[in-house]
Amino acid sequence: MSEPKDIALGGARASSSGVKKSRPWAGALLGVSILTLVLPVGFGTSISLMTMFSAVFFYLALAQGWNLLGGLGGYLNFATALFAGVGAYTAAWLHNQFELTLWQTILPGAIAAAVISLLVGYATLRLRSHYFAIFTLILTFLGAVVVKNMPALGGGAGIFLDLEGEWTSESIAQFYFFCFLALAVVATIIAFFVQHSNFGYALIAISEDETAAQVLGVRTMDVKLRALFIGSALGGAAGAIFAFFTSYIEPGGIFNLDIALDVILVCVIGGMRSWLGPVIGAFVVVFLEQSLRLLIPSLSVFGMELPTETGRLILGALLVVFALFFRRGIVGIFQSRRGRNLSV
Amino acid sequence: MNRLTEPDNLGASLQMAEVNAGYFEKDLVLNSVSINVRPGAVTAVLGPNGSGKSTALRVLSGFLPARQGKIWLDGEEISALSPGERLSRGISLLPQGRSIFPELTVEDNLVLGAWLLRHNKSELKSAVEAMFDRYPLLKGFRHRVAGSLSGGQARMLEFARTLIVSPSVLLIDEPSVGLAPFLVDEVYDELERLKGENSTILLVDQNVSAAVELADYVYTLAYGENHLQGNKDSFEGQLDGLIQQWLSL
Amino acid sequence: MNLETVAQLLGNGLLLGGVYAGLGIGLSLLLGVLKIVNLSHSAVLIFGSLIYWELVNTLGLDPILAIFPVVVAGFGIGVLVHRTVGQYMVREDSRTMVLAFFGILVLVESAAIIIWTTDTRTVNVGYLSQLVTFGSLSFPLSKLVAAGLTVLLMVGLHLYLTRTLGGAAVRAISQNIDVAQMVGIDVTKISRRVFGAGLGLAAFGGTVLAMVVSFSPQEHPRWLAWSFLVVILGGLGSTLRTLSAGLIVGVLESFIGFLLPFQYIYVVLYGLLALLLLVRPQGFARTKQREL
Repeated sequence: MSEPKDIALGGARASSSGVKKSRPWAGALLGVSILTLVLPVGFGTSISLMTMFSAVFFYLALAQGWNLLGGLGGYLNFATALFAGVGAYTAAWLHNQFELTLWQTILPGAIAAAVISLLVGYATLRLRSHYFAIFTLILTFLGAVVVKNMPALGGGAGIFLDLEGEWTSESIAQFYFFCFLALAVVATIIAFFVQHSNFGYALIAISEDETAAQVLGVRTMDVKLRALFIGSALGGAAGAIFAFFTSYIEPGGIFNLDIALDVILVCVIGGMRSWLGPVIGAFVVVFLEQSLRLLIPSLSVFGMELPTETGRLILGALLVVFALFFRRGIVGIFQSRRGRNLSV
Repeated sequence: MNRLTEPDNLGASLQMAEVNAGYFEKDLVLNSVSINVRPGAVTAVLGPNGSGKSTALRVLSGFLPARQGKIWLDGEEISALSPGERLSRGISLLPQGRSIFPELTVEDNLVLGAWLLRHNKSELKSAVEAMFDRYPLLKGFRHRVAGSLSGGQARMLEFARTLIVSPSVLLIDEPSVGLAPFLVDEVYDELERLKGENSTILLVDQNVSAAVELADYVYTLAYGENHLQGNKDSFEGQLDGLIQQWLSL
Repeated sequence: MNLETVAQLLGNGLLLGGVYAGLGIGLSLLLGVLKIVNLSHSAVLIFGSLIYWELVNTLGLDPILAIFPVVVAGFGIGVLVHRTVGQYMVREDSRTMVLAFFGILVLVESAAIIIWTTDTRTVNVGYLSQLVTFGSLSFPLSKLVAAGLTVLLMVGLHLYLTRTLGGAAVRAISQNIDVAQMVGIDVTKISRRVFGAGLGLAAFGGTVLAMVVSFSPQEHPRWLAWSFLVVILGGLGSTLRTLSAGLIVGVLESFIGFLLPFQYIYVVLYGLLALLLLVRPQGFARTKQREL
């Protein structure tokens, strides 16, 4: 990625803390080894395992995108579901109207999401992060309302994607395993390169002290918009694949704060300052949610069965605990124990 | 220049003894710094940028805890007291820069300055009126919103607020920073007036010549440590040399 | 559209707007004084609505009297939360705070759904449902009471903040917290009370809302949007301006809802919010003093 010369990198570099020793080769090696460990799962294991890993990769792709503006830049975007939803609906609509295939709809989905993000970003990124947080939080709800009232997009009932072809459940699971994996790899590579680039330093500088970064010559608005753009494009692409994967989308399911909750949990638990954080976090959160889903129906409190919402309550509490006490996530715990600020 | 040493107890009213302090975990801005504020006199603390002068005031006023060392007031240890508690013991701080409540009126600013007197309405009222008598110019602005005051008027308000609870020790932090030269003169005129009233003052300022002229006793800090100290006379002739030294640090 | 219809729409809008002002004041107080972004505001609000529903529908309490226990409980819980977690809500680290409050949003919303499910509920306001007529206009008594109580509350709050010493201390904390500490104000104690008031006012908003509309737990983000719009339009730092902002939003919704299909209200009001954020984020406030 070539950076425009007018991002004052010297100052940005100096003001970004925690990046003392940069060893990108160690990181690249780590990433490749994780990939090789994960690949075999896509060959002939159970459907449920492949589906679970698909979920991991889905959230990983979303989270890496989110983390650019959120973790590095410090602007918390709660509208993840909106962008994924835009991507999903774009893909579904294009498929049903023009019979486009998955490959042909990923890019339009990403672009549609990115365009919306620019509109949102332009209005709100000029102000500080508080207003951005609230505004994005309420945007998801707007998305749901708008779509529910658009018959062209299926209204409240949603859209079914009529997919042809001879697919077995197994081949579907396998196909999407690799689709989501590919997207997650792309997202992680992007995150990795951003972290080690002037763009990444500029983002960290903004999150540390935005006024100082501005004074040093960082074009903060451009940087923030760019991070939002990349993040939402990844979200849109993930949403497009998701639409084909489930072959049915409806507003309540996709324009749902739970997606934002999951993505944020992934980044907070994993660690927000590094590409490695979302990788770890995605596995932890998906496995955790799976366990909760299995565990909760079998528990009972005061003789009453616990409803499935309890899992969500636990996740909320987990977020509060991590936000207050383990701000740097798992990667952060690991880094501080080693005593050095290693950037992989 | 010799480093003069002083015996520990010269009847100092406010004392900072061998204090270590800093803002972030591993960083030490003050290293074993000791300062005695003599009663009824003006003590100046000077030094180049980054020497720790303002940090010393923050420790004395209670905004920054001392990691090591102690703070004494009239023989009583006050190291653990908050700024508000120190004010009730008579230590009043005039901070650097703007320290008014911009959206409140001049009168409300003074009333809040006398927060400690709030349980006795008549005492509070007379304290406010006393300040208006001392600074008649402020009286004309009493219902004006403080944010609309000019630099010099706001400074006057800040002085009034600092004095309203009749403190025994005044901590003055860089009073001339950001003010036009004629306003600096006004500020120092006010400090002279306070000196004439036998106030106990600890003054930190970048304006070395004005500070030394006002002071009775001078400390200098360098790199967060005590450097020189002595009576005003021993400093008066050496000013240029001192400043030269600091510029080269 | 004749004069009578306009008058009725205006009346409806003002009454609705009164309630909307009540929705926004809790958020505005926390944002303006403590610089806290309470993302869980609408979740707390809806929880208040649900408790109010229980008190009135299940226990049969009087709809006006039932408001007080809900508000007091909200205040108490706020003070408790601040006492336990307050020291971690350092204003320096705003991202931590935003994340924590989002977690609280999920917590409170999930708890509400577990206890009350996602059913839409309506409070049975009993004798308040009768209509009151002024000439050719008529309004339900419940809406008059809800708006009236809110206006009373906000005027009271305004007087407290501007005419009393305690109120001056609160405003001092919002303008210069270091100097407030310096003059001896117990900033922690007062912040605790303000935080409690913030949650208590959110709960109050929930009760008056429940008096006039039907509600369900998972639709609470809509009320966060309305609250936020009121806060931005009114600007931080003035109770009366927040009240005016609420009235304006109510009137806008009333007229737009009459002219266009109902879902356009969302688009218009969200669009207004975006426009405000773009062009004049301080709303009615005089100058750009408050940039968060």
